Amino acid sequence: MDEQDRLVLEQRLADVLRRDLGSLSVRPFAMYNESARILSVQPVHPLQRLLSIAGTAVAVVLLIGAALGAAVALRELRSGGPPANPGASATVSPSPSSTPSTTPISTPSPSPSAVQSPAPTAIGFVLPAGCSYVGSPVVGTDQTQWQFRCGSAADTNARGALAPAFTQQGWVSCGAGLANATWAKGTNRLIVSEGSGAPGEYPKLSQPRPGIATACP
Amino acid sequence: MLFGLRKWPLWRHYLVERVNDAEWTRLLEECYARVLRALIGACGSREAAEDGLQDALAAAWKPGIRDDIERPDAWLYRAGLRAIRRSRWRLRREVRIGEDRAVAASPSLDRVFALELLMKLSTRQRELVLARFFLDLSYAEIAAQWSITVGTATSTVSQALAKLRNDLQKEEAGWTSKTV
Repeated sequence: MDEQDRLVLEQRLADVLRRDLGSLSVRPFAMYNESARILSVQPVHPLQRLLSIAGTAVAVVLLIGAALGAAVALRELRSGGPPANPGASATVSPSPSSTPSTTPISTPSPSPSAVQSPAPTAIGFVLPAGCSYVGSPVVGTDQTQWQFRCGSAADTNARGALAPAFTQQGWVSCGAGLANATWAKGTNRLIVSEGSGAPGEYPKLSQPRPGIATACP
Repeated sequence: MLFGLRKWPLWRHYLVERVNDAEWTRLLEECYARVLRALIGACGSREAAEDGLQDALAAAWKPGIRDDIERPDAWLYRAGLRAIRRSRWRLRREVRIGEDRAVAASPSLDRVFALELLMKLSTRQRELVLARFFLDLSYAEIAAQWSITVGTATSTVSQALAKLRNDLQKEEAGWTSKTV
């Protein structure tokens, strides 16, 4: 469309709009305006406005503080707190590849009160460096069972991989059976079971409840 | 002109309005009828347009708004269009102005030629055509209000004109306009 056509069309459209829309009746202005003014804010004293702004600022600051506090608390909860045995080589830190929130972190203290993670941990035993728990423990009526891994090579010989750590931490071997080994420390027992080697299947560490532990020679 | 100077710092708007209430009422009254008719043209419904205008007026009375408005008619039109789009509030608005409708019955919009013409356009084309040819906003003012470039505003209106070309030519050739 050339410029002349465009101008003609524009003029024609403007005429039609003015003629047709301009003929539409409208109600008095007051009918719209009065209710609109009621809907809008009531007259506010300047001091009230300032106080309102200050109140909003305080609320925002409080909200930010609460959010920061919650974030810090959540971070501490997820990290499981500071390591409880900094000098021991057997201290286990969560593996980056494992899920921090679900991996139980064992502590060297034999006392259950020292356990910081909500998930139960093996009493009296800490996985050696390089090993980590996988997933959440299975808590049964007679025993608690964990899966762990120590790297692809060590996973095929879990008993051998954990034996030095057991010995170092004062555990005594009760003997080895078919693909498992039992260790004792006082009334506590721990059974190391080799994994099947299938993907997603890891060696297991089982701890019977002290009352139902078998005798150790 | 009191509008558009924007020399006062922002915080001053929270304390004192530059345009007093009487002056603001006069300016709104001068343009409300044109804006309402444009809104009717944009949405094709008198009820929705009245609700949109009322919401726009309520927004225009909020503190700190009026001093930054360059053209009250353009601002009201744009605010009204936004209000119309917020259809989730429609029920609330109908309850609010229902009594007013009972006082003055709405004339029918069934046979208005301009509305039939506008309904052939897309929503955006309709809004811009009305802003340009009914409210007489310049392309620069349209671009500022809709936050688009002048080129986009011009091309949108050109496309609308192309769509309406045949109808406008027939109208000129002797079609009888169907006004209420």
